[in-house]
Amino acid sequence: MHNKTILLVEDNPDDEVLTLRALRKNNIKNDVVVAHDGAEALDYVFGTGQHAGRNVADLPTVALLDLKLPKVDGLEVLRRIRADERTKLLPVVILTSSKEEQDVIKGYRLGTNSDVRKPVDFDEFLGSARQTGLYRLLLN
Amino acid sequence: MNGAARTAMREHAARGVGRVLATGFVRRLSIKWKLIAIILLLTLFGLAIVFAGMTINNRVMFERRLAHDMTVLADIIGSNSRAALAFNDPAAAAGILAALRANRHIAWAILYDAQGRRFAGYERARGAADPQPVFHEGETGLLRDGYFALERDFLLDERRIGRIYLVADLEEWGESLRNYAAVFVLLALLTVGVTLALAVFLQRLVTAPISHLAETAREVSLRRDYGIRATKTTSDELGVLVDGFNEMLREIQRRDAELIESQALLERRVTERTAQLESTNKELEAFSYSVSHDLRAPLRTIDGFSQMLQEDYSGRLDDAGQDSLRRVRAAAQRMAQLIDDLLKLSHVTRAELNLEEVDLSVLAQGVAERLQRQNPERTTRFDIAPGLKARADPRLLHVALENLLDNAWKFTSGRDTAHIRFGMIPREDGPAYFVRDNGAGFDMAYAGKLFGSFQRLHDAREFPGTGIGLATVQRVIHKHGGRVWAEGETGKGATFYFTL
Repeated sequence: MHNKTILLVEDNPDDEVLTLRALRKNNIKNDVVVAHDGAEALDYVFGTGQHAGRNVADLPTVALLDLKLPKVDGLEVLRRIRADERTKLLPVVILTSSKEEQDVIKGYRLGTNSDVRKPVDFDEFLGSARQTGLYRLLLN
Repeated sequence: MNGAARTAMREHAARGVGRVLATGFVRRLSIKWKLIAIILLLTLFGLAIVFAGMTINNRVMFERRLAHDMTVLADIIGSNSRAALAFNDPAAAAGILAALRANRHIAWAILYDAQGRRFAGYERARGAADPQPVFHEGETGLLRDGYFALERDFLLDERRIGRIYLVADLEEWGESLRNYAAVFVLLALLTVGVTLALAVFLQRLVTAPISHLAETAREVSLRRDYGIRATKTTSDELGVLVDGFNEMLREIQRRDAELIESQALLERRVTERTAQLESTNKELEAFSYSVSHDLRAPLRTIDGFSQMLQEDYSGRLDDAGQDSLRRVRAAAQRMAQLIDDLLKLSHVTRAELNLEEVDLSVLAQGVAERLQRQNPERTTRFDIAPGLKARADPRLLHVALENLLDNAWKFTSGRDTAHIRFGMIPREDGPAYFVRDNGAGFDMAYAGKLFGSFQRLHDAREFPGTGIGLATVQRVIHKHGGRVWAEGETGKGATFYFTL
């Protein structure tokens, strides 16, 4: 089970490095696929574009989705994932930067498995990840 | 003003009231009828004066004529009785006196001889209803019972040969008086009729413009239409009144128009401002969204990579290097906290007020429980007065109480037995709620600075904080139209009051 992938959608390279490091330090050894914008994330999930030919049925264990993304923003990515029969059950965790963003997500009423606020301290980040469903999903 | 003058004034006022009551009916009459009444009264008064004058004049004339007639009669009787007196023949004298029957107003006649003895008499035949007159012989002029008496001496060669005493009734005067009265009544009726007709016709000259003005005024006030104008028909005082009235209406109309215009202008402005405010609010919202998102990202990088250095390269850094890294991380985390608090403050500022019945005690209890849960090692006594309810926005008030209780918690951290109270004291301007602690307190000299943004009265090393909490509390309370203030003493604790 551990070789199931995690999809990390993150445009900030610093945050990417820090998230990957935090995952490793917490003994999460899944493969991590990084998409740097919303379009790339959709390509990966639906096996289109640069990920053409990928088996759509082979869903990631979880998608960690940033909201502010170039090209296609996080909410749009989430909407498309939820709108598709093949991917609507994909667990998605939204990475937010602020309480304000959490309010925005609630306003859209899009099914998310949880949202985790990105604190400045990444240990704290995974601490809060433990409190939500994210950690359980990662260890499965 | 002295007492006497005041009394006089009060009496004057009382008389005035009496006059008003007495003339209340007259006051209610329309001008038309007032005018007619005045004209009628004056006419009748004039008529009465004329008749009174005529009656008095006629009476004087009547008396004069009566006296003259009776003198003539007395003289005729005198010259006719001269023989009877000379020959002392009372029977002949009585015969002569009997001729007086021809004048039905002569009631008595008495003839005296030269020595003043009663010589002959005449008495008018009296009906049963005719009363016995009471008079004294010798009385002349008007008698008490409505008779007129006259005495006349008969002279012959300057020598008195006899005297006659004649008494006539005033029946004739009564008759003419009755005639006068009849004529007066007739004339009065005629006058009233003619005056009434004339008055009805003539009063229109005066009252028609007034009635028209009154009718116009009534219509204006009834239909609230200030475009109506009264028509000017005369150029006397009434014309001036009509002009003034119309001018007033024009003025009202002009002001109405101005009022409507300025109202429309105000409404337009309010709409514009509201739109502006809304767009400003949206911009602010977008701004704080990017602030929260974009400002935090570099902080995460700073802190994240510092942490990486600490963890992976600690062996290659000496103590000074490690200390520097710790400071970098602390600063990054503090800045993140500042951003969060600022956002909270701006959120409170922009939030709409949703008033409902809020149980402040329950809110405070919730915050207290959270604080104790987060710091189980501390022993702090919370005294929260139960059932304190107020009309407020529950979310905003939660923010305020959270800040106040967090502060109390923070500043009592050095106490062995921390004691935090939440309660209410009634004041003139309504209940004042308070959060009291026995913590570090503050110097009252700086009380004014407590509620400013980024204002801190304590050393950050001892009591961490951003200095935004109390500013947030103040915004919340001001949004509710309340007041917030603090009392404290260094080392003895602080009390924060607020009203809603």
